[in-house]
Amino acid sequence: MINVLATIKIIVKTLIFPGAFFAMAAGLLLAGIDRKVLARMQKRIGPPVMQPTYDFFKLMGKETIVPHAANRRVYMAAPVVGFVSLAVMMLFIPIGGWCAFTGDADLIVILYLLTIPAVALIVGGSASGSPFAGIGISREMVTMMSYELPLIIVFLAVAKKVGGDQLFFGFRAITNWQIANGPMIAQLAMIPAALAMLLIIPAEVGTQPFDVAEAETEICEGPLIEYSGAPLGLFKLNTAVKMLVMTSLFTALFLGGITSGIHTGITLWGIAIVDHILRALIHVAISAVITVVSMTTIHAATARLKIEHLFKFYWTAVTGLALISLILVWIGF
Amino acid sequence: MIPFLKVALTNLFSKPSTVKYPYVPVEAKPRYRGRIAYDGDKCVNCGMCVKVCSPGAINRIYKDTEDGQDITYEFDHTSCTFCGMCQDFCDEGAITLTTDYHMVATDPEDLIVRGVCHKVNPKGNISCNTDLCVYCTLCAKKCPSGAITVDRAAKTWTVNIGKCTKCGACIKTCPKKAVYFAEPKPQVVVCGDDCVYCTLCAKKCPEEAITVDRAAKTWSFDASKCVQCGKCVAACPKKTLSFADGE
Amino acid sequence: MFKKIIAASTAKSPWIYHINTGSCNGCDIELVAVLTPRYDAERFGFKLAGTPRHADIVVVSGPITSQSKDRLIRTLEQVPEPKVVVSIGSCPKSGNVFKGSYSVEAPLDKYCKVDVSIAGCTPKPEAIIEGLYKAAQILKEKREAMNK
Repeated sequence: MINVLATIKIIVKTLIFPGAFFAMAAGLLLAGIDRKVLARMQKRIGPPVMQPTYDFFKLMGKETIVPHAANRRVYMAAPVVGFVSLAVMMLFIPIGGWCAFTGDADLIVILYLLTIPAVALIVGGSASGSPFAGIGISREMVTMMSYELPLIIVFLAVAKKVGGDQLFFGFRAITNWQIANGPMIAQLAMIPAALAMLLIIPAEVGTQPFDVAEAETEICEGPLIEYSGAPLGLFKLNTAVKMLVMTSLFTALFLGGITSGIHTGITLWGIAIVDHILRALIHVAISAVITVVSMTTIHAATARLKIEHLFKFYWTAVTGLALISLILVWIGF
Repeated sequence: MIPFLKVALTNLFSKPSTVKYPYVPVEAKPRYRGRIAYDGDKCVNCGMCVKVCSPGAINRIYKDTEDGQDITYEFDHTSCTFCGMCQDFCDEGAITLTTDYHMVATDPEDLIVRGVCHKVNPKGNISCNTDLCVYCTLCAKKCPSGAITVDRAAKTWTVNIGKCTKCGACIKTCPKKAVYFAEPKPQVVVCGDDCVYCTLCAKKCPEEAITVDRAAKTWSFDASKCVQCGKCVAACPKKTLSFADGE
Repeated sequence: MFKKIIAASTAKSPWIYHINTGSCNGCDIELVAVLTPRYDAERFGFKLAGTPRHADIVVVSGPITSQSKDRLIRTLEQVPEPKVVVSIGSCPKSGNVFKGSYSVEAPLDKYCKVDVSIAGCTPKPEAIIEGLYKAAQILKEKREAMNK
């Protein structure tokens, strides 16, 4: 009996909150906010906030064409694999101090899971057999290499700050430390790391200055060139969910525990549902603010970089920022 | 990047510059050349518009009627370049390019503007069969332009051809059926002695019925091509061209 | 219900793919003007797609030169159903002033069904918005017809 209840709980966590459904809804909402605010920054009215949702549903109803040159199974599986890994990632990232699954090495798991959507894009693109996709995936690989290095250093800095003498990679430890000592971003030593993280988010998601891999005007959307219908919709959904995942990750690392003070005391079936809903709403609101700051503003003010400039930027400026934090933490600030 | 950021942030907090078009109607500028409006009543069927239209978007369909011809003008907007030449060359002002730009259609037929120009066959002059005439003066009383004078005492019947509009009111009113249209005589353009061979008439002629050779000082006219639009007569600087009866 | 949501979304999210088949660039510029802040077609969800595979509405401009004819046909075939073809300007419908040239293969109707034709040389951006909006409604009708 207890086993059945636990299984139901796990299924609900994976499929509804904070897994697939919540990730989908919140991700599409964030993507909509991004597009709306971007339009306003360009002095336009812009699409409705629901626009990415419309796009997604429309693509679900379109004909799916698989090119002759493509490997059908890999081609169709790639976007699903990407989405599943993103949904799983949401289970590890704390929302308002609470996460579905927790362990001692969450950050390491997330680091590995984060590469999967990008790898799915690369695999799907190469399975489509288009030469444009070939250029796109080589660019995607370079982009991945560029932002992985500073991301690891940021994770190390946070783990060192929390752990003191040793490295703590668990989100429970990170959140508890922040509840005790105030948000990570308030620490002087962590400000460069937070800046680096803000600059990593657009590259990970693939928005304007760092969307070299999907440059629709020069290489016809790169890896996505042959995709149509439902798989394309899933890839677009992946981009939207990546926004939620990356902003949630930022919240967990640097603004953790802000919402953990909310206690209404109302419980249903032994779960504090109202608390969870409130915290999730605040979490999405914070995510929206981070989206606007890190993605939309940069998008509005810049043009697309060349791939070598992107690589240089991440391995010098951003890695430098992250390293400053790591060194400061290491010497005890 | 910093100045762009500044612009982006000021835009975020200012009003968008978007025209809310489908909800707020937008008028085109006064001289915009949009959908063609054709007035068949003004048209004299000179054919100049057809001649100057570079993509050949104007088509004429002729249909014979009782007293002349119905000429349907078709302006095909899917073929038009909206250059406005037809409007410029129409001396009668029958063609205007309006400012209506809503030329969106799922059926191409919606993009064709049609208009009918009615051309009455040329009539001969009014004349009276004096054998039947009783000089009742009814025709003179009915004439809207006062072109007919009848003297009862002197038994004379005269018509002023210049004033006559060939409306046919006198024919209808004549109790003796004495008034009638004389058989039309073919109208030709003749050139007088004052001609300076300037070729203006030839240039104005939409049907190329007139040929002028400046060097040889010859002026020739092809009656079979002439549509009697009168453009040459109007264009002649020496006023030496005129219509005349005859071959 | 799911199908209803999809049909409703289809009308709200039409992605455009633009093919220039030897146009003078007049119509192309006006089509791009539609996406600028002044006209902002993104209000209705219009977006320029980079590849025909992502497109819902194919916008054709130009008198279809012999060189571009095969490419045009191939591109049109690559667009997934439901799709709508929009001709912009006089050229694709008739060849305009290029009519009768040895290298012009207009009209477009010979190769596919043109759902919406926007007349003008070039059409005003407002007219293009009107035409694309009509095209989006036709797209929705086509999607609903697919359900049956």
